[in-house]
Amino acid sequence: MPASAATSDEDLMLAYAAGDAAAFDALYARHKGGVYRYLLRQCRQGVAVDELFQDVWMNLIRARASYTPSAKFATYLYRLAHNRLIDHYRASGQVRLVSADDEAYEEAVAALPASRGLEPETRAENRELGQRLKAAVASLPPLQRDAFLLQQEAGLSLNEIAELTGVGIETVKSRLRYAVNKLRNDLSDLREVER
Amino acid sequence: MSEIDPELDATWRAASREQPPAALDDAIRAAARREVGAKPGGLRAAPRWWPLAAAATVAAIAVGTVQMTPPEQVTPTTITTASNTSSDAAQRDVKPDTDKPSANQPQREAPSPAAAPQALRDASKPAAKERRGAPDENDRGEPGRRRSDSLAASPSAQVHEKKALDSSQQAPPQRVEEAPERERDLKQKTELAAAPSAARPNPAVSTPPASSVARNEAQPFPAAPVPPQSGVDNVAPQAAAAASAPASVPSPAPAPVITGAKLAAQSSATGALSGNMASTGTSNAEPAPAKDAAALEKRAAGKADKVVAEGRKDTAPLAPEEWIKRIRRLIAEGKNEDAAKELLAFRREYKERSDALLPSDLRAFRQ
Repeated sequence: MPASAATSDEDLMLAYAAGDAAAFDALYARHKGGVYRYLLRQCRQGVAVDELFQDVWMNLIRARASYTPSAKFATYLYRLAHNRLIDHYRASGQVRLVSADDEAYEEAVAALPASRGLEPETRAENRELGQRLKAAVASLPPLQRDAFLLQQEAGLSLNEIAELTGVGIETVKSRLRYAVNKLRNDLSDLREVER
Repeated sequence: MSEIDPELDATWRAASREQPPAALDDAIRAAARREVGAKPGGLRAAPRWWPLAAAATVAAIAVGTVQMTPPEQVTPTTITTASNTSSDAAQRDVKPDTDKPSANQPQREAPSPAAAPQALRDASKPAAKERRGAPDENDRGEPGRRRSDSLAASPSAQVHEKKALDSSQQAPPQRVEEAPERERDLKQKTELAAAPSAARPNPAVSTPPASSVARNEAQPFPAAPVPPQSGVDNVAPQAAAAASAPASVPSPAPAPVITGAKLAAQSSATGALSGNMASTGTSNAEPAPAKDAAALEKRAAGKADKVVAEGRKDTAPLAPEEWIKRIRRLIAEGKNEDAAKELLAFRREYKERSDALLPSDLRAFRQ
């Protein structure tokens, strides 16, 4: 089956499950960057990112026979990535994405140290907006960062993020709001300079 | 969406452009192709041709088995089951005798008990082969030709065919006349074994061998898988023997004693069977002498041979002893020509053994 741009992710995945290797290539080309960046922003160890990235796609390859297009393919793919990331956190002793309700989390966020981007020496180093932004995202609390990255890199809707992460949609909204506000604050000085 | 800052979003998209290493891409794509090419493809492709391959294999094995199995191993078994009801007791009685290797049977190599039936068949083979003429060859050739036609394409099939033909030419074709021939052959042997004692007038000495002779005459081929016609064939010599030698040979076992009613029942059963057998291309006991006679007629050139052949119809089931008595009777009645024909028929029947079987006066008899 020729993988055109109009072919949906779900069809491509079904075609690959039916034995069409070219469909997988198309699917991979569409999502490899997003998945890679999602993992990269969540996990700062470069070697581990490559390993996690490969694991995610291998899990997808192995699970092709059981794939049913009940939801958006991106949701399915990023759930694999999300779960693999949680496994990685558990294995490395940093269980950050689990069991934090919003109230407790907001208190925890307030108690977090200031992002490195706010430090004078770091600010001097990261002059460019992009780098500041990356640093700001990296300094986000994990759950906010996760929601932010799922929205930005995977292009998932609030509902999809809520479904993927297993929380309510309001929780997702809250996380995103906190994340965006924090990023704005982190980048405010640069914006003011630009204006 | 209030959670999205467009400016932030654009900045993020511009800044976040990392891609996985090319080596990682290649590894993942290769793994994906490998997985599709190996397991799922193989599993999906398998159901398409596996049933066909399995069916073809089973068919090939079945055809090969059928061709390699000599017909005698199939036919008698099925027929014997049908005839078991009538000749069950008789078979049980005579089996030990045939299983025992006999010193009076030089042709036999004393094979294993399981090979005894084959040995019996082998012993009767030369005479049977001699007597079997063109019709038998034709009978044999027809299915063989049919099989070779159907399998002419493959060389291995031809090899199988050759094997099957060889085996069918060596052993199994006696099916048509096997029973009477074997019967006659056994009778000869038993006659030879019993000859010295039978010549003696003392009944006390002659009784045991005589009784064994009687047993063997009644059940010539108990150990071999006997087709139903053999049961009927057994009847004819026995009846003839009973008619010609009424009281001289006591019959110890009840099984060989065949009453008139039993004879009638058996002959009717044989008639029913013969119908079946004729339809399947094989022959039963009753048409066997007729077929034999037909073969003789084809082989014989003159009318005299026809007469002999006609005589053979009567004499075929006779034991050599009875046959000799008949020849003597003809000589005594002055029918020397008939006696000579009978003698000729006797010699043809028993070939090299005829001199051993014939008394010296008949051996030297000339018309």
